[in-house]
Amino acid sequence: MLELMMHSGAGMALIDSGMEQFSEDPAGVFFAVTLWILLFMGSMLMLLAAVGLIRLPDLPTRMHASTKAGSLGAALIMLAVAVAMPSADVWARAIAVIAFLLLTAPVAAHVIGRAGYFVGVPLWEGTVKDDLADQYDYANRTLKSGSLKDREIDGFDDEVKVEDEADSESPERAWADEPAVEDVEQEVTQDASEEEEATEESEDSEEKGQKGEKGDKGEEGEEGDIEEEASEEEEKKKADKVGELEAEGA
Amino acid sequence: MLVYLTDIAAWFFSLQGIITVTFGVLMASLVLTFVRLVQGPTLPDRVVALELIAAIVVGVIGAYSIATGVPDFLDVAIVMALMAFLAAVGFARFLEEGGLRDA
Repeated sequence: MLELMMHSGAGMALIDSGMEQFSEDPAGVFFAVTLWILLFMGSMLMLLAAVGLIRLPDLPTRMHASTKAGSLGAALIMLAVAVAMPSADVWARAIAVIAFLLLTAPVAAHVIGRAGYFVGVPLWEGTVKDDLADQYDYANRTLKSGSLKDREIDGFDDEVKVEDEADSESPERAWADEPAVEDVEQEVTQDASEEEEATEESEDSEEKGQKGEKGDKGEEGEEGDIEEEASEEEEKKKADKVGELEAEGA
Repeated sequence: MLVYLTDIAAWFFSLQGIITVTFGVLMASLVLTFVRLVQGPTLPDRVVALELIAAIVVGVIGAYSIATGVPDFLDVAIVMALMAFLAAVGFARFLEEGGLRDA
């Protein structure tokens, strides 16, 4: 059986002469060992890619297996070809194949992954993170980019945080509200002409107080806008709460 | 028995041995990838399987080129890699520009 495998085929006879040529000098032995390692690792990476393609549950994970392991396995086998037949044109062709594989594999994987995602290939049910979940408009077929903070300030969680602080009746919050109320009471006693300026000043001081309390780091202009919106919302919420409480009391 | 084991080890570490093993492993990979090509639930899965089949065929061509000592087969390998890339890009284009939806 073994002899049959060894001496079957036209190519194997040629390899016998190649082996003798390799085993004559130490450099030939080194080349033979390098060839063996390259062929073995290349074929095993191919097998790994195929097993991953079978076993993995998802299109992106399957591409994760097949693209990297497959192209690296083919590159190693091509390097084995270049080591086995050391001439200039073989090296040139082998390096051309390797460069082409390494250049085209990421592009093809990106294109297919994008098409599969947008066509609606279901992801694995254990998927933890899907950053493009709400950013693709299927009607207009456009993909929004950037984070939520850059796109719409309304949906960002700064405002939500402020609302949460208003809702949760923490002692710090109650203590921070008191000076503002005193300012308003003092302003009521002032003249009608000065009243507008005074309210503006009080709003500014309130904003500064909130900034100091929260300790946010950001540009002041944006933050001022956000805080104004937030304070308006707070007032609305407070009014609603008062109405609810009255309704419950009644 | 021990003689047979040493024979097998010597065959495995020889050049024709590793080339035969490479052919066998690449054939097994082709079969596994073909299973995914047949049963792959969606079209992009099949395209990925086709791409891997092209890469494995490039490997087979390289191993056959070593086995026969003829380096002219490498041109076929170059063409295989190029065709696989073009096929992948074409399928992706077809899918994204109004091809099959939810498939």
